[in-house]
Amino acid sequence: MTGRPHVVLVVLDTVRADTAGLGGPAGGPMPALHGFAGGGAVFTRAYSPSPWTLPSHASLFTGAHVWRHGCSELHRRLDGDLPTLAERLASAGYATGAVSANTWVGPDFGLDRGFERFVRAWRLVDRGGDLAGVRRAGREQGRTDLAEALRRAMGGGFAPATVNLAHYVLTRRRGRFGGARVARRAVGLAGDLAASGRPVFLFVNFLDAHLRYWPARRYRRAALGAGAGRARAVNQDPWAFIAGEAAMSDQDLEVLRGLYRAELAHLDDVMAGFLAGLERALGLGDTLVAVTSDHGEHLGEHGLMDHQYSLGEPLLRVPLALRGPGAPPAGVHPALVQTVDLAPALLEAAGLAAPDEPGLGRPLTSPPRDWALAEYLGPQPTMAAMDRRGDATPFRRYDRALRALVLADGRKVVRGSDGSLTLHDLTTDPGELHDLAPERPEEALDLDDRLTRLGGPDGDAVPPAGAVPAATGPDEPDAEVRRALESLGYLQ
Amino acid sequence: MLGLDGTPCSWLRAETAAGRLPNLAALFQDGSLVPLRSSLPAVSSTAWTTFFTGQDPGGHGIFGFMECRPDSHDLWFPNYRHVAAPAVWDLAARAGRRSVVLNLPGTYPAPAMHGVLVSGFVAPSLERSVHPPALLPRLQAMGYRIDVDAFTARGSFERLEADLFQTLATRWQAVRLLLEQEHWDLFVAVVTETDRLYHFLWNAMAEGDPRAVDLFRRFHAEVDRFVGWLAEALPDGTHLIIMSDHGFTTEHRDVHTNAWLRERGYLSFDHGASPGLGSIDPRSTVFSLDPGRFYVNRAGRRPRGGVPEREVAAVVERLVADLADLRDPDTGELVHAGVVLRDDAYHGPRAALGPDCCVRPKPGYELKGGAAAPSVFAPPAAGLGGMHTSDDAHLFVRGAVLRSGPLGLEDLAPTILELLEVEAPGLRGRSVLAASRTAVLR
Repeated sequence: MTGRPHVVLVVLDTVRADTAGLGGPAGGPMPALHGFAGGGAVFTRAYSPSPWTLPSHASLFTGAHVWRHGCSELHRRLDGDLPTLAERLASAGYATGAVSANTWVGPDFGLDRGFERFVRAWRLVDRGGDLAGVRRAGREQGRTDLAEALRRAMGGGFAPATVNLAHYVLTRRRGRFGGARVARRAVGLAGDLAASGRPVFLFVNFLDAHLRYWPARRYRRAALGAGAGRARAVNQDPWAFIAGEAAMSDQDLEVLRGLYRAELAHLDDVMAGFLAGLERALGLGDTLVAVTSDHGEHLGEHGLMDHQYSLGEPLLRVPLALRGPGAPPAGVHPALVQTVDLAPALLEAAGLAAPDEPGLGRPLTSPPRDWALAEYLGPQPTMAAMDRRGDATPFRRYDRALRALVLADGRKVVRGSDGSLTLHDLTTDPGELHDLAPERPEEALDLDDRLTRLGGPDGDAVPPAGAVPAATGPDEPDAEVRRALESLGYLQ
Repeated sequence: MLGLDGTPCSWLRAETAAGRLPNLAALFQDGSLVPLRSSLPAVSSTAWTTFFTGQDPGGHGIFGFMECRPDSHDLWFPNYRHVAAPAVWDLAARAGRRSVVLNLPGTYPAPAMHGVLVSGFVAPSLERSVHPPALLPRLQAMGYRIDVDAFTARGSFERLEADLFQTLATRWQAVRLLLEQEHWDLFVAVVTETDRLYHFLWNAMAEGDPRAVDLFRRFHAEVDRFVGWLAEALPDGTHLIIMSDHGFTTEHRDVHTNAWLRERGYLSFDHGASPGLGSIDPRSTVFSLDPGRFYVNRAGRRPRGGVPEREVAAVVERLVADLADLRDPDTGELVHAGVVLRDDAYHGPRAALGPDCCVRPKPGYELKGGAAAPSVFAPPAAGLGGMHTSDDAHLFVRGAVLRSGPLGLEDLAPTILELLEVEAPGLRGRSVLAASRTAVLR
């Protein structure tokens, strides 16, 4: 033990809080993780600030809301002024490393800042160019950036690049995200980092719960029993489902949910192996382990699959558990928290101060949160990208930004840039099936007003009446405003 | 809605009567062109925000281009993020109506909204002025310009002339693009080049300077061609509103209200410090921001505030009495058209942030708020000549009978919502249409 604990941040990509069941009764699909978390602090009402990978990881790494860190559907890169968790810990003497199975979570999107070692686990061979990254860039940005990305990627050699791309395409198509391999690489990296004699900060992203859900046969059988035979036939194309091209019966959706549970059971075995490996590499008694997710998943609710177009509870509620030195008091914590609160908590556990500024989370041990905020600034993939892939018409109604405010008392308001405004009482309507806005319009508008004041997609917070925030956004060219006004005689 | 920033009703009437502006004249046959009251103060950011919220500044919170922080004496520039009331396109969106908004002042940075919005003045960055961002490359490709570069145009007639026509050309091009490619229920486009021309050359034009008169004619002829094209391009049955946010007139003198406050003993600055509200002497009782906004220097809120709350009413009373005697020393004429107290001018949740009193501008006297001016009266600043008026903006609604006046900017959002058949209670203004839409519109 070096005085400060090792810190391990695990993101189980695409894992819903309710399916994982941490802090709840035993008997869920993740018994090993349930047991591990049960010895630590489990937060059963944790909200992600974004419903998908990129902004959500940017929030985990900076402790900031989307409007504050600016990495969003509209600007697909983390840059700007906020130090990341890895940067803070590295400058405090930590050895930092990351193993990521998700191509969004990597150097192409500015999420490798502060890591001495960053393993892109979607590659079979950890060298050569990153053609999967190129593929991602091509899909998102169209052909313009593709040639340049390709040139860059091939710099590392043709053979490993090709092997890696083939591996990527085949494993994704099969729905295998190689959790066991990710875990082995992460444990190996932890050992390497610890050998430096410094405390270790390790980040790991496991992608196994992501579509396509297709774990090994034993998991499918265990979860589906007799229904396992139908599993291969059930639709797993979210776009076809959302567009209404692939009709799915209740039975089909049950099978889909079973497959998702089966992936979580598989992931639980991966986690059991990973935790055992950490015990060997770092010693769990010296290690603060935090486990969470970047977002949940729609499994047919509101006509949706995957994790886009919505700020529904299935997407925002994520598991959150911490165990080890510096963790909050052991036990089940039902208070409202957000995953932006995790980075400050980890900083404090490492003996560092967490900044207290608008737009940033606060340590998990702070007084209870009054509200949680989630933002979705536009469809992902963009409508333009959908058009390139085919006809985007069925998705046009989702061409909108959404912002959601959840209050500690269970009310939730969601505002869309298309003018939509919904109000739900989660205490009586956890499935968000009964919109109260038409019955209680004044209340909905009041909450909408409050939501508006909690920060804009474009920068600083809108002021509460009687107060005025920073004059301009972080990069606002004040001098240019002044020049423009002076030229017309407005300022002297 | 087509906005012609700063174009006075009286001037439009005179020009069309003289046989110029044929397209506008033809449109005006089908309805009435009437004067419209601007906001208080009558500056574009306040005025257009009043237009697009249907609230007065007490409701929307934008009292000018520049504000003084309520907890210090620092100056800052409010923008769209600080607007405290929903915009007409947000109200329309609640009923599913889609909007295209181009170059409306006071809409920077571009908000996420239902439709398309390209911000207007003050908008320092085109990148942050476009929603959705996917439109940005198209605008960049056409060389779209948010504004005339007033900085380089000031003082150079040729540059101003070239810039005016070029900016209007890209505006026209952008309107054409959006009309063709977007579907919309509400389309708002504002021509701000008119206001720029007036700021620089109104005085010269009014004095009969042949170059200025000629540029006014040619530029408005081009605006008129644009209006003619637009009227043709709009789908049949489209309701068309043409309007401005304020009027314009000749400026004789600048009136520096802070210099006046210093003369009258209301305001002083720290000894030796350069004059500026940051170095206001805590014994000061009143300071002003342009144009014509007067604030009591309250104790408690600002560290350099000196007037306890119980004395505020007395200070305002004395100020109002003194303002009633703020006269041009040469002519003995009052330099403003009257004082308005805050409670009479502003209504809504932000009213308390407004000035304690305002003066209405009077043609000829431009009210300035700078702290450094050595004397109360000065000739217009170099390169500028022209000032806003508050009661001579214009309004025209094609084919409609308008109710009897006075009509104000805050009445436009309710009018637009009525035409869109969207219910939106709680607005400060009320529709300008005389009776129900079906009765008066063809």
